[in-house]
Amino acid sequence: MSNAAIITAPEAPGNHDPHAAHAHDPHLAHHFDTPEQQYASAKLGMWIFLGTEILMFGGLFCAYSVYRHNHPDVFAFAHVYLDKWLGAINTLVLITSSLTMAWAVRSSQLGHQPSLRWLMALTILGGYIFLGIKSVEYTTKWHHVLFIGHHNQFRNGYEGVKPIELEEKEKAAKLANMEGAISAPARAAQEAEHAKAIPGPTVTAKTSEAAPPAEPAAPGEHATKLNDPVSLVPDDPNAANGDKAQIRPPFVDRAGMAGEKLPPPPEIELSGLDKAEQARIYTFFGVYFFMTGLHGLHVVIGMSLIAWVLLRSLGPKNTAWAVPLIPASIGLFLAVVGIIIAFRPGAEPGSPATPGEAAVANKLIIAGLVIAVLSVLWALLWVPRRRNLSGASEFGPTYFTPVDLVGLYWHLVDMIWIFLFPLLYLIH
Amino acid sequence: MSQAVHDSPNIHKYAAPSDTPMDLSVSHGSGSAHVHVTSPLLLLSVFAVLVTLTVITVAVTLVDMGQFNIWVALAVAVLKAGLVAFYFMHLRWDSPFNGIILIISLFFVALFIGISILDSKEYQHNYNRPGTTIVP
Repeated sequence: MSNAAIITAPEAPGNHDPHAAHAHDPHLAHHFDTPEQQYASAKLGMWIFLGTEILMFGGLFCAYSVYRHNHPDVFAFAHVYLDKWLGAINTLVLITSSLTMAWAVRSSQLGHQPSLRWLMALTILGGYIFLGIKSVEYTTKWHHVLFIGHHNQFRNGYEGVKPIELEEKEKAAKLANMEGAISAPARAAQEAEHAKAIPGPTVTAKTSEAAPPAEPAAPGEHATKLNDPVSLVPDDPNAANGDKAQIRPPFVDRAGMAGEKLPPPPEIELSGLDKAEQARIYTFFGVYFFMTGLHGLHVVIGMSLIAWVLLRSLGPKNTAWAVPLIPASIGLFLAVVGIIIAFRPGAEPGSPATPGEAAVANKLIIAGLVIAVLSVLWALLWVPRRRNLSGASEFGPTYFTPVDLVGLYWHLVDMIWIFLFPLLYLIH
Repeated sequence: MSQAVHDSPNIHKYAAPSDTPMDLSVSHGSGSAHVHVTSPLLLLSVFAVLVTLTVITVAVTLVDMGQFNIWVALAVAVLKAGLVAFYFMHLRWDSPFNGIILIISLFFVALFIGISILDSKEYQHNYNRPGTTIVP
């Protein structure tokens, strides 16, 4: 610090007319000399945090790189199950929301309140669109048994590769066969026969959009599903494809997974991926889901932070309702989870919830509704008391740090997706 | 930043809101906070370049360049991320220290990945997935 800074000590709070300068600034913490110093420190701290975020994602990128480096064919085989057009649309959505966020920072610096609010709302909308497309992708993976762990059909090996646990199962089944039970290989053979009877999808083109998981079926194809007596998924739009993997959702009976394979994409099959390599495909989906899942979590956090800043930009008077809204929405969420557990749509139609599940469901529904009602009562008592508060935005040319910092976070989320998209969807 | 701002620190530090790009920087001798307002034209230009690069990176996958596909895709991604960091994240006008933190993070990630790949190459050739037997 130079002498000049010491000479300008009147900057310090309390040494001058409070209205003359921003030492009066209510946002200035006592341990900072000036708002500029506070702003620079906040930004430095945010960048250090973003650095740790990069290091955290670095672990996943490292897993990806090592795995892809050692098994390039596995990635070439597995990535055709991802829809690159959905990935590309999501990239554009995130870039657009980055633009609106950067523009929101500009608006806050200039004190343009309406555009600040609208641009942050648009940014949050971009996050919703991103997560919506992502959920479509995840749902398709789930229905095609291309999820993680046991919910991935490649987990037990692909065509001939048998993990030890499966061999042990077969031994146990052989023993049990003496008592009349059906053996695992026999069941697998049966299911394979059955799968042949159902017309499979015609894999026509070499491009990834022709891969079975890529597209939901057209509405008209639902009629075919009615003729399929095996389909246990009432609302699965993909079930109409007659795809073997879609005959039965994986959570019904994992043991029968041997009969639920997707046909491999033809051009990859010709490339000669050996069977040991094929068995490693499920790890690709592990990498995919952990990378996109952690990124998706960051999208949710970023949206929440932007929503918080958006509320602050509306002023305390206008956002009094938002505070009780948080416990109210948590309560409603718990109640909805309870209702889902109680009725379990799509799992096993017609089967009632077990007594244990029903008890949990009842507790969740009651607790959730109690929390929601209490929150509404709180709002009724509390919101009117806030009527006298200011309705002005907290942000303007002299204070826009929160807008800037959540913007930085959102841009980092965008940057990480910029790398995830070509690495996962555009493998050549 | 003007000399006038230097000489009269007690005068309000910030220019009045206006619609033109401006440099709101101030200096106090003890570090300065450069507050730069990005112009809409610049924001839209960066956005247009980002969209173009996204289209390019998808289009490139339709061309088979062998092992160069991944490097082209990565180069485009680095370029896009750089644009986002430089303009949307204001690094161009920020204290250089913020940019250094970003570069240091990326350096350590690169070190991590590079050494891990080198290490995995040492044993990968005699590695088989545990618990698998290959049925002919």
